[in-house]
Amino acid sequence: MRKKALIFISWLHRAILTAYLIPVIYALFVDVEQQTAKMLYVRSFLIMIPIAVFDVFSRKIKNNYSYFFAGLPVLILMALAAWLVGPYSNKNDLYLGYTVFFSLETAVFLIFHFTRRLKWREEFVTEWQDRQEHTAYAAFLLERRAFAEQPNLYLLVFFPCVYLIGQIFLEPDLCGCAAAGFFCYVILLAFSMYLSKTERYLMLNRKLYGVPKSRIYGVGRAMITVFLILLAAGMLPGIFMSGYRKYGDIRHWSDEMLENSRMEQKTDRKTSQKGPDYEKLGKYVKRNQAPAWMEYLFYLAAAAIACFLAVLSFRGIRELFLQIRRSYDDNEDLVEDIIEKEEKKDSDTALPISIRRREKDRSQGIRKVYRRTIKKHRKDLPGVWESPREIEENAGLLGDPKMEELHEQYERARYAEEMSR
Amino acid sequence: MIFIMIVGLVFVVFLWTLVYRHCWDQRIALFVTFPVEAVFAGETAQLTEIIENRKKLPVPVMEVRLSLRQGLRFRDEENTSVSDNVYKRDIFSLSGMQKITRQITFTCEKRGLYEIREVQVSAFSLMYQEQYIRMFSMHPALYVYPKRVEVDDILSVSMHMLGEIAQKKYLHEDPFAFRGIREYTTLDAPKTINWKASAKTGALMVNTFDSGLRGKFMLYLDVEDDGIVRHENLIEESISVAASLLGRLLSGGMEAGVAVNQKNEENSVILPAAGAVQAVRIERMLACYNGNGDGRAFGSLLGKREEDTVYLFVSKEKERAGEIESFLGEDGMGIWIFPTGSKEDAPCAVNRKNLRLCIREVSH
Repeated sequence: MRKKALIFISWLHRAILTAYLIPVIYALFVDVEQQTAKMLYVRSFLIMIPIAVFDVFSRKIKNNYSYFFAGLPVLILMALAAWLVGPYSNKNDLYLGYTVFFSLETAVFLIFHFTRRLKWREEFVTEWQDRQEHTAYAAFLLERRAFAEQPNLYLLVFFPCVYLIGQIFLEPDLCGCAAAGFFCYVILLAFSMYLSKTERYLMLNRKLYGVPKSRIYGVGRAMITVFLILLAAGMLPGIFMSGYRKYGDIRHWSDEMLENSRMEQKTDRKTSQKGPDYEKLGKYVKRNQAPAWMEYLFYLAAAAIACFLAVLSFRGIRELFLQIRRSYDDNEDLVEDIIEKEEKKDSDTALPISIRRREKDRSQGIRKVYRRTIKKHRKDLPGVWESPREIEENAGLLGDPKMEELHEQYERARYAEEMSR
Repeated sequence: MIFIMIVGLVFVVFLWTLVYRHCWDQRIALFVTFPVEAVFAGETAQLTEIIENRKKLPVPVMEVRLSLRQGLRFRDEENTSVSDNVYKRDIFSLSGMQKITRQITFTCEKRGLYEIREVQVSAFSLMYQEQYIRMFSMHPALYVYPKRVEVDDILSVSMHMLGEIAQKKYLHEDPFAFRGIREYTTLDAPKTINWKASAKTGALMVNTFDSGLRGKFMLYLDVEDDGIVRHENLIEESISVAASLLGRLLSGGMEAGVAVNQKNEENSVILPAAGAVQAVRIERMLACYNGNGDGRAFGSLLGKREEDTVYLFVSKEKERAGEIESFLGEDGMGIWIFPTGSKEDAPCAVNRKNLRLCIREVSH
């Protein structure tokens, strides 16, 4: 499952990056009037299909010719699909452009996977053919190579570049796509880094006995979930501030007025696409504006939904942790939960320290009085074996009412610990 | 604003790293113990690793590394690397408030004292980019006593040497050395009847006592091996024979002592005494000997001879014959245990009534 997830991430990673090419080209060289970069990007994401198919072909098909024979129909099919979903039905040149670019990208991936396949096979033949377990090891190696094509930290630079292009070529949607792509790519990168690094660590320690693989993944999965949530939370302010972006057109920097007018025109065009001209409708729109209480109600509903989702996520993570805790260990280790014992609260410790000290002093005082009284009436020292009653008897104080009272107090202070309570 | 997103991202990563680096080893407890204090060489024993995470923060990967001197063979050899020491590494995964106990079985191949002084615990950051290390100092130790070998032949010779003294053994009962209770026979003296035990069992029972006159043995072990060719196997065999023989004698109620001509003179002599404590002292002394063949002159070890003692000599050197014979004189009783690779190397000159030679052939 983990290996499949890594392979899927490698496809997604290539698709996310490749899908920017057409919108960037259009932003640089074509004055897009009818469609936005957002729609272009979504359509360009179709490239993930040939990426996945060629990747599977390169690993599964044994013969090189068979690979090409299987790959060519896919290329044709993708070109057709691009023609069908093409964004510019009324502009033949742009329509054709999208189809051509998309087909070119597909062809590049066909050749890329083919060269990669040749390279792997060559390495495999030279390095591993003498090994007895070469078949299993070849599959293992191929999988490893697939893992190597994972999201890369350095590729994060790509998104700010696209973002800058969007900003300086007056393409707000391209900026939006770059920001969204950055957000997704960071999450994908963190997750794939965790998976591939853990896999690599386990691979390095594959000969080690008793490695709790499922526990490592279990505990790590819960931690990476928390980490991803924190990452998303850390990036959220950036998304909320997308409204404060400033755009310009490098092609018209010399003429600031023209830039401003273009921006206005573009905004006008967008509004005209989206619906009726509200300015013309004027009063009608104002009259039909939702009342303030309804807006607050919507805010409240949104907040409630957000809270609900947060609670669900929290419960999900908690369940994940509990699941790991309950799960059995995959070697013979004894796994136990530590239950911290509540500190036993004695009635003594429950009392304030000043009262406890006073009580202690009082009991000490009674014992002091008792000792003095006995000393006064008895010449020799009482033996350690003597009970208080015997001590008093030997002192000739037995039956004395005052001594009886003191005896009672002393017994309590000495043995019952009543005074200190 | 993609740049604010980048700032947020960096901040979260930095904060996470800082918190994890600071907290991973808090309230972590590690206990490495040997459940038994001592085993004999060749036997299996266990090492217990208990690791506790007494905080809520989980630690997905935790490595425990420890080192021991060579001589133990772990069942899971993959987790050990052997160089001058045996380095063992185990991986754990701890959730919050969790305790993991792992038992590791190993075979004790060599005698010795195996101590663990320090245990290194390390954890990794979530992406395995950083490794955090903490050292735990502890002192678990395991004594691996010398291997038990068959010594019946030597023991019978020893008993024969004990001769008259052994015959007198049961005539001199020590009234303070209580041995046990058995049923009364007509040969028992009425004063030996234990009335309380008789009342409880309903039959007459008598106390039995150990002999007041114990056989006394002193063993001289020669560990000197300073020749060009080292005979480590012969030295090991000598130690095993000495330990097995003394163990058998002490368990039989005899008094036994040992002297080793090791270079370090401290703890090289244990005077004859009886009892379980003496057995443990001797076993530990022989287990801890690690002289690598360095020794002092065997003659310096032989002190004043006592009349009632049977002397045992374990030496692989033929040249010791003169020293041993002069030590025993005419009256002294002694046995020379001679470990050798082939019987042809045995000293043939020893042919005295009071000195017997027991040759032990050791295969290479």
